[in-house]
Amino acid sequence: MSGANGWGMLPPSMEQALEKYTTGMQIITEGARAETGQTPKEVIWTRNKAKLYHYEPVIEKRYRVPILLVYALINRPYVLDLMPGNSLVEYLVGQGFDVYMLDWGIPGDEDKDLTFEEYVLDYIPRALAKVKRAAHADEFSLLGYCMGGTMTAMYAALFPDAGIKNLLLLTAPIDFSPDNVGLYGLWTSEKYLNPDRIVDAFGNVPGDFIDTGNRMLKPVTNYVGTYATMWDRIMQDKSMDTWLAMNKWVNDGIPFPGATFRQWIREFYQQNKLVKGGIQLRGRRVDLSDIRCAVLNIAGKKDHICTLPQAEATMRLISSRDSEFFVLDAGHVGLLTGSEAKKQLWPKVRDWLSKRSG
Amino acid sequence: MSQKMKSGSNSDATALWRQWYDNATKVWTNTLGGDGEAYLDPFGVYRLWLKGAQESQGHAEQALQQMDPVELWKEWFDAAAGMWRTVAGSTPVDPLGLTTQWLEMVEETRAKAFSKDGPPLDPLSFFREWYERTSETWSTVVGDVIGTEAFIQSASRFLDSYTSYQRTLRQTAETQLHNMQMPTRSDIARVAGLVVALEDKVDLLQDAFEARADEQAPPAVMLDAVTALDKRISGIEAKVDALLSSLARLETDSRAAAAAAREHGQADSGGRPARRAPAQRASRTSAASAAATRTGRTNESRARRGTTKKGPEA
Repeated sequence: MSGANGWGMLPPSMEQALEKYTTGMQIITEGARAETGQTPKEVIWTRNKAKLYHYEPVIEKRYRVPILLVYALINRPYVLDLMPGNSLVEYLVGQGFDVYMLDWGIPGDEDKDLTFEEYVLDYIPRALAKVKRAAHADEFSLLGYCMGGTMTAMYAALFPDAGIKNLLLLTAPIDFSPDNVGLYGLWTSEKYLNPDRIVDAFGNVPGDFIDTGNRMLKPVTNYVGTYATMWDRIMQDKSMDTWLAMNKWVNDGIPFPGATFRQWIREFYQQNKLVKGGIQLRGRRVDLSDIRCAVLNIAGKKDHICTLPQAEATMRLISSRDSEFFVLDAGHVGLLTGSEAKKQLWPKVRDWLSKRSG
Repeated sequence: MSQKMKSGSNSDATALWRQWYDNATKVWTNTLGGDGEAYLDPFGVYRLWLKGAQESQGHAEQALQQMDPVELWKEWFDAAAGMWRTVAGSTPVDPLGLTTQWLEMVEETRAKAFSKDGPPLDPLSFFREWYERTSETWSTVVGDVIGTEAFIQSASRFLDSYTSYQRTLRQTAETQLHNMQMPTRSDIARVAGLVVALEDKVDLLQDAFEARADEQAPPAVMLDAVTALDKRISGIEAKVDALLSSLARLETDSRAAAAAAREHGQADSGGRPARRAPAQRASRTSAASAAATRTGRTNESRARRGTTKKGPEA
């Protein structure tokens, strides 16, 4: 609008405009490319596709209690270590915490029968044994994000005496009653969704399928807004690094192991068994009131994947004397990364943990 | 297309727009039936949209020739609204009320865009503005639609037929590959499953070994205490080393001082030895031997803990 001809936002030369157009189209057609998950780490244990990372300390360890991050079974865990300067992992390591992360890996056809039993009763305990051994510690902190939060809550309820000192739940859905879960309540209702049909057809549920479901909760923002922002940034010569990293992550969905998907939809969304104490893993009842360790439960006001009431329910179900519900004005992913996360979430996690990790 | 743009219209943005408009319309035409192939489109929305787009092309070109961007955008809005009016009027079944809602939204946006300052004059900021002004309405409209039983019902039916198709496809592929004596995905998954099971067993064995080792090893708290103790001993050793170095320096200095005194005495007494020399010698010998003994002990203790350092020059 500043130009004499009224085409102010167009770059001075058409070639420059075409170059930018090409950049944008390349991103749209080929997908975003970005270096992610760059905090130095070593793999200290593997089992099937799962890997346990130990992040290399950059300063002398300040806290005795190590922390294990457990991610969801869908999408990739590098959102916790998105890129230098925008990484929760990097921040915690820089603060002197001994940080570990469990990456579930990408399931293959042979993993379609894996269930929460395997993940909660086999993988997590085994990974924690490795963490304790590597850190020379008897106690540990567990941080679960999204479905990883649900899984760590189940673990904490089943193994309250295994050394768990602190439990951090980040946007962890616990109460799946239809009133709490927004559109998911309708979409996953028994009347309209039969998980058996999907699992029988696909084995593992394709990442795109899950991704579409999540994006359809906010279709305009996810399908149009994202790219409106992209063009805006390209045309105004703003940095694209974070946008590219986030877009790469958003489009990097992985298959959901079939049997676990079946459990997730049927027992959690359709029957809401977790809050009713009805989840049984190999005959062991998951009773969240058995959680007695210190709990920091974090949720986002704008989160439409794990709504506020879904996460808040944890507070009335656990027995911990030391527990806190912390609400941020953010969405499901915005809570983890970006400038607001740096200002709010990361310091909160550090402060809360540092008092309890000595 | 880019070549054309580069060569012909460096400064003529409206010409660029016209080219874009022509090409986009052609693409739609070719996609939706230019080659005469059947295209499954249950609502016929796209075809009608295309018809409307072609009809409005003439209007748009007129606006382009006028070179008045405001008029152009008005024209664009009118054309868009017109297209959707055609769609809404010609579509007998619109169970989700999509076109009606969309039309309402287009009208609303038009009113908003031209009410105050008018639309932005360049295409990029115009589209940005358009998105910002419409996204909220869009979200509401789409949210209302996807949250209805009607939408879920049709999505559920689609999912059922898609999963049936997918299952049949998989089964057919499996059968065909099996008949051709070729390994199928299931075969590969079965082998991979065996490998995973084997890995699980190895992991369990490792777990058992580690548990056994942990039982025999001192608990982590004790290890921490030992580490702390080790640090303290290292600190003490460093201090002892510093003391020994000082002692050695002192000894060297005193030896030099004694020699100087001797020389001075000889000069004074004409070659007679100083009276206190034997006592000084004895004292020096015992200090040096004590220092040597302590250094030896320190090195031994370091060697036991595997932290031997080069001793001070005694």
